[in-house]
Amino acid sequence: MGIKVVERHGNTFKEKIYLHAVFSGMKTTLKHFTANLRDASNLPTLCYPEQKPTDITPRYRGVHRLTHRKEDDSIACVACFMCATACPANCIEIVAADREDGRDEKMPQVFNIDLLECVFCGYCVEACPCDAIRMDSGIYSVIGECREDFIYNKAKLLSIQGISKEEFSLAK
Amino acid sequence: MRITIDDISIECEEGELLIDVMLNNNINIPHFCYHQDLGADGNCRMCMVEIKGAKRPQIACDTFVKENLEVITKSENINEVKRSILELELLNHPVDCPICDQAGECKLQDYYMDYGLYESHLTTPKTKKGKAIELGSNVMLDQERCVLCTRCTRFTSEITKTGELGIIGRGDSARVGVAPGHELNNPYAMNVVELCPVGALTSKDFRFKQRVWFLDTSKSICHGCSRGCNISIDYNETKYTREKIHRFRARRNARINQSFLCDYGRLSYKELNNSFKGTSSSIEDLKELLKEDKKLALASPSLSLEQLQAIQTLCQTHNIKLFCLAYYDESFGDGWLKTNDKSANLASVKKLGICTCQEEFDAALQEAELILNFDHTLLKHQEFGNKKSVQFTSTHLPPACGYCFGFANFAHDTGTLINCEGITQKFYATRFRDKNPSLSELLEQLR
Ligand code: SF4
Ligand code: SF4
Ligand code: SF4
Ligand code: SF4
Ligand code: FES
Repeated sequence: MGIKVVERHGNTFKEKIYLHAVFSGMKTTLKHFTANLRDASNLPTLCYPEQKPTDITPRYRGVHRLTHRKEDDSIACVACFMCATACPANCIEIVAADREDGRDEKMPQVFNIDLLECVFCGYCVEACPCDAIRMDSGIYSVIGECREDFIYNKAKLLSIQGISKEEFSLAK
Repeated sequence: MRITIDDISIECEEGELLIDVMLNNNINIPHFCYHQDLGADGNCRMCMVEIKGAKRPQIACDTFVKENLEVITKSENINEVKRSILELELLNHPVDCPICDQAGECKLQDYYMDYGLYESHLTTPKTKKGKAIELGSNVMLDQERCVLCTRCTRFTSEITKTGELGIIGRGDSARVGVAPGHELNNPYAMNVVELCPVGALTSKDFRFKQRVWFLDTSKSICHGCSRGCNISIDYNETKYTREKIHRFRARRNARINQSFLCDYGRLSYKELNNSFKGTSSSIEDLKELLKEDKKLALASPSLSLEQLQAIQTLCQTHNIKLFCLAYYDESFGDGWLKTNDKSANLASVKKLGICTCQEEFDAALQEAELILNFDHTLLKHQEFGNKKSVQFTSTHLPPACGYCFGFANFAHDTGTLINCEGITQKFYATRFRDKNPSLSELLEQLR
């Protein structure tokens, strides 16, 4: 293995008294301060929650939703456990069952996501071979009164609408 | 005799099949139709290897080893051959791995990742065949996933000689099936699930219960009868479920069960999920009880050698008459794997010199005032009237008036069994401890 020797910083007199770094930081702060004082319309911060964000795109990783099939609006998920396998937080609980509507053989009987444990990494979406789970709901805030309120079950996840153009699962 | 495989020199016997030498030496050789306990059929062509001096690649399952044979399993040429065979094999395959229980232990998946990795050349729609067909005996058939290796049909025609399964049709429409109006029905039928290298035959009992990559495995011995078939216990505990045993699989042992199990044994895993859930009585009370006169103990002949020894020691120190009665069932044995003696460890009982005489036991039972039952089914649910009784049980028992102690069943314990042919074998515990102590630990407290 090659070793790269990096120079150690912070040993000169100028660096040791810190003043130079402090003032150069203050310079940046003052620059933004005066700019924002002159024109407040371009402020990059929001008075959340009174003001809501307007730039949530379908690519934003919001709360999950389970998609439906285009043909008959039935659940697209086939309970393959790929999402649960990929999930680093281990927060997806699936119980598989035989599917009785004749569309396929397998579906989830239980599909719970514990949003308190979820780290919103999006691995589950990446792993899904059926485009059955997506995070394109645009929902960035989840509110509940007890822990159980944050466990979203199959019915709840199926009822969430997406904000992208593709409402249905794109899997073939 | 020595041969060379991929520049590694290997010792082998004259007349051995090349594929056997490779499998026994853990050399990776893709194959569908060859099975060490079913023999060669040579239909899948997946086991192609290059042999120095031969004009074209040959199948390893039909090549006998010769002195100084030089074999190459990996080369541009041979990989290309395998890729083409695999593509043909997978041409009409539905690739429904997301809903296929075989995924994770599927040979098609493995070989595709090792040798395939091509884009399909198919431009016409795939041939459709039957899916989720119930064949009987807990076996589900998916004709589209089949690679026509004939392992299953060879099993029913050559091993069980019941001949239920056959290949119907030719070319693209060839598929495995049973004759109309018939079903797969023999006491060893579920072996075809394990023999099938892909997800064409799956178990209805295990269907959709777990994904196989979540399972842990422990080496064990089936306790269904005195044959002592070698098994793997597949179990797991997830964040949302307690530890559960999901299935038994056959573990190959050429001397005993080859790669097979009877369906009775295979499904006997269910009993192991029914461990004792109540609270055990107090050990101090038991110590008090053991001061009684006229004590009798009955031990199950399916306990391990170690457990039987512990019981014997207890009985000797406390002057208890110890018996062990065999679980005999005339209708069970069949001259192949199943034996009439359904006790897993009667040979150990005899080795320890424990009395197995029914008459002596009956007489002693009449007289006894305190009865200790070590997991024997005969006395498990019996009322003893005014006699005192203590149950040591590995299965769940309804709350009874007597004393009761739960102990860990064989999935959660390690021990030794001696089978009907005198072969001594060990079985091992799963990773998770039972809430009940092992019988040896329990008896240790009585010292
Ligand atoms: S977003 Fe990440 S942590 Fe959350 S459920 Fe999906 S895989 Fe798990
Ligand atoms: S959401 Fe997708 S990855 Fe998860 S179980 Fe369903 S089909 Fe499989
Ligand atoms: S048989 Fe193998 S490749 Fe075919 S669907 Fe099942 S897991 Fe996938
Ligand atoms: S069902 Fe399985 S074992 Fe039988 S021929 Fe097809 S692939 Fe082989
Ligand atoms: S394993 Fe050799 S041809 Fe099938």
